[in-house]
Amino acid sequence: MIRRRKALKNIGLLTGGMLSITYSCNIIPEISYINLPLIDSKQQELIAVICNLLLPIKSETFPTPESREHFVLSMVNDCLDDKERIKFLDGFKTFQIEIIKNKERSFKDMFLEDQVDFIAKYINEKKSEIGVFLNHLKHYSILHFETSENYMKSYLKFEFMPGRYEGTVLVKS
Amino acid sequence: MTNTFDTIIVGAGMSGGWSAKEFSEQGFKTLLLERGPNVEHPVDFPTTNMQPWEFKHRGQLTSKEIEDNPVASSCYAFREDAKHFFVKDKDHAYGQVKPFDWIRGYQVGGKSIMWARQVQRWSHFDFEGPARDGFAVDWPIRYNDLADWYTYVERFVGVSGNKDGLDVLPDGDFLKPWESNVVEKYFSQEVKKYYKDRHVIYGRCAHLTESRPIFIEQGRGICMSRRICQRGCSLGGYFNANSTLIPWGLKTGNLTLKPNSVVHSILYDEDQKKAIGVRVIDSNSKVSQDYFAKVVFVSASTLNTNLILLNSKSKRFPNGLGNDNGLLGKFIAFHNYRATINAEFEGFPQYTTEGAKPTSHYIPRFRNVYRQETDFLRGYAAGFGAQPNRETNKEGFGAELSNQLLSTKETGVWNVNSHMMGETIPKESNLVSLDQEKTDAWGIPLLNIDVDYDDNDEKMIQDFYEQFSEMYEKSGFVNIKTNDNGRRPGNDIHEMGGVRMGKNPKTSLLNAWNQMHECKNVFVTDGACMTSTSTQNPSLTFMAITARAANYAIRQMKKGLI
Repeated sequence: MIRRRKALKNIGLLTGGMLSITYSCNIIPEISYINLPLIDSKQQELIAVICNLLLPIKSETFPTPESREHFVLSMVNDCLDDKERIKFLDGFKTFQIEIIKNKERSFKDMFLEDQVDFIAKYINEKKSEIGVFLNHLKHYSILHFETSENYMKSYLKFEFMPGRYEGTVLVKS
Repeated sequence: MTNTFDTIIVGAGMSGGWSAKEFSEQGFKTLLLERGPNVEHPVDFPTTNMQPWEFKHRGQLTSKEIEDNPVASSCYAFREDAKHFFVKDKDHAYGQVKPFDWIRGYQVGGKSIMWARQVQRWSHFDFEGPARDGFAVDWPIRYNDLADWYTYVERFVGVSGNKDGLDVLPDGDFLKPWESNVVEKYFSQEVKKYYKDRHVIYGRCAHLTESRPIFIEQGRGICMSRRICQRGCSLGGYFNANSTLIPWGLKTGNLTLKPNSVVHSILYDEDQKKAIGVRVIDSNSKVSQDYFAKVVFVSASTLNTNLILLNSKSKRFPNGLGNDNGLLGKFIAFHNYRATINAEFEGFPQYTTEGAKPTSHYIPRFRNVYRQETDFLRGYAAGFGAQPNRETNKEGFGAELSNQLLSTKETGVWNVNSHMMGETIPKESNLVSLDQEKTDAWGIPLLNIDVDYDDNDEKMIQDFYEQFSEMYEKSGFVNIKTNDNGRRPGNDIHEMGGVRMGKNPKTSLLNAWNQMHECKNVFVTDGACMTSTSTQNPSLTFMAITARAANYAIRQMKKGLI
């Protein structure tokens, strides 16, 4: 638990966000994002669930300095311009309304198949509000994964200090 | 601290660094002024050892940084890892009469920390260009005047290259090159097959590929081809002033480095009829202080050098120091980087590359070299790069997407690309001037920049498209696409001129030794001194010209002539 708290604190430092831990039965990490003031801890959990559905990767195999949802939200908070961020938030709001309207239960409580069906319904409607929201999550999830140490080293041949260049290397079959 | 020195140098970038080294090494008490903070190698390179995944935004800028810095963020190197070395737009305003990206690095080391490190010599074709083609004014020097100084600089800097034996791009004192890849070699051979006068060669770069005693003495290590040079290199693998010239000068005990010192103007004494020093404003306290010396070297970066000289007004020089002919600030030129071309090549699917290298290939100017052959003046050099293409399918979501990302692979196709580096013609109408009303935080007039492309540049772009499309087609490249990237003047970061060298005081500001015609103890040795631009990345020439001018001034000082 101590390690987890330390990790959460590091996330707070890394994201530049304000980390507040509520001590209760369940410790719910909540990082405040200055441009996303209405995203609370439950919504952060929901973002985490959606991100994991969009790109399910074992974080033990591809560890990163921060959790997926906090990376994604940091990017939305810092790197999307105001117009795109509003679209993202509108999409998130509509996403939650649609869930309640159609299923009358929270997304997290839905069956996995229903969750997947719901995302599949909107992910290719890239101009729809929910489509914009989902595709931002997907884009930053991929970036998070593709810049993980293991992926860069094992799949993209990344070397921090190669010290060499070989220009005629036979492709291994 | 005393305020009297033998020499004052304005600007601690690579030009100022060279004069600082030369003067201090030869026993002259030297003051090196820098308007920005100190950056000490390697402790002030905060991101140099950060891994890609350690950056909060994985290298990207925030939307606010882009919004606040439309100029700085237009530079390829202004990213999360190196943004701290660039001037922020709001901190240092200037006037754009026409759109101009003034990319600056205000710190000890200047832009030498973030530069592109390409170091090609000029040839006699370049120095003879204005006289032959009837533009600007004749250079007062030729290649032979500078050849030994190029060598002198290269030996200290460390330049990796091949001896190519080309008259259009003279060889230097090179360290071994990195290997060329199979497509670079292929394109080089194809071009040689079809064209007598076109060459695809290894791009000479300021990186240490082997050790020599001089580099050990500097405390520098071999380049590990990390390709993150813009962050500053903890190893000293590439050349910047911070790991070489400045500590070298400081070691002599004769050099005083004074950061946070904004030079307001050069002080001119009406009785002695010469400059006596400089007026400096502390960038933090804004307190003004005068410093005095026998000789002043100005190398504050091209446009800031123009600004300082224009702002150095006296009874004798009411329009700026040495500006009797009214040409100070005029004939600004740059390099035209607007045209690019890319394509694919399917010729070597069995090969790939491993490791990395901090340079690519280079195609020296081939247009109008030996005779005028086009309807535009001068010509362009170009880069050439070839990389194995990697395919990653990012469609879909869920396990399908995960599996696709984990199945990323090289396709066997190579991406190839070139970018144009065009010579622009210096014109009187391309100029900088002082704003009559607006001043900066230190009370210094803002610089207004009025610089643009012209018809010659547009014709050159079209020719680049035609010639490179043909070269690519003949080499079997496919899916060829040309592009005008719309880069604004200045974005090349090769602005030059305004205080040009020349033979005649009526048409130039500096003589063959970079000495002001009208104020003999003031020398200008950065890009401001350039009479024309050629096509080559100019930094090596700035350094060679500076070393030459400094040693001339030293000889004159020893003789008591200045």
